[in-house]
Amino acid sequence: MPDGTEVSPLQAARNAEFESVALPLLPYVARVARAIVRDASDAEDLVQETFLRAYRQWHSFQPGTDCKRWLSQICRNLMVDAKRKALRETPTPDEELEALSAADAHITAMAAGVGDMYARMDLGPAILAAIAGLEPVFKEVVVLSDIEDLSYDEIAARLSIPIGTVRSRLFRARRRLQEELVEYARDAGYHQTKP
Amino acid sequence: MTPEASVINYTCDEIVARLWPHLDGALPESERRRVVLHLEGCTACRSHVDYAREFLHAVREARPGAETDDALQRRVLAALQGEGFRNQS
Repeated sequence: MPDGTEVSPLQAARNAEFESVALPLLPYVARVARAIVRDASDAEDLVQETFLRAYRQWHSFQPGTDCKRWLSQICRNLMVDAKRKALRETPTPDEELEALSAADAHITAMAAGVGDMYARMDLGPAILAAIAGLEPVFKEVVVLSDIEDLSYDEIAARLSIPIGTVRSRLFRARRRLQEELVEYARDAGYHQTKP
Repeated sequence: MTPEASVINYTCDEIVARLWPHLDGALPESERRRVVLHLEGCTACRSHVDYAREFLHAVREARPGAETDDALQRRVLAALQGEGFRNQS
């Protein structure tokens, strides 16, 4: 709703464009922020900072390009800025060896008696907490892949890393999430109900 | 490798190494077909893939809701107004 404050025609046009293109994407930005920040209040701060930066830099947005992607990039850049000191490049492990751990996660879960937990437990909050607790380099690939639904190629391009590194980080990230969830299910007293 | 898979191109280790790219739809078609062929005959690998698929499904189901958060929107709009933004509609 207009509030009656005088603005120049140029600024009015800018506001109208921002309102129609960027603001409708607030739920999407909130979803991204809530996936990468553990604390709900911090996530809301991140959403607010994202839109403030987006508004200040609206002149750099190219009309007709993907605003979702542009906002997501701002959101993640802000997160990286905030955690730059903690952000360390993790050496890429041997990809093949890492990949083999995908089966180990299942074997570990079965041995712990929680092999069917995904079908029988509400793990939503535990999953989001586990994602938020990942190291930044692992969290960003999980968010891009499993929250934003980007392909490996798109993630590699977005992060300027080789596709093999995308795969490797995703393997490791998912393995860590699976380990956390096995611990969570065991701590919750869950026991498998089928052989 | 399990006996039932021994006649198929990929070994079980090769299948497991492709587990996530397979579920993510990131394998070239030729590799995808070989993985599917192996899975049809290997219960062990199939159980690993099923478990991984359930995990991915749970992660995607856990995604924060996309519903509009009215309180958050009001807060963002108030902050934007401090920057000179004014609703045009």
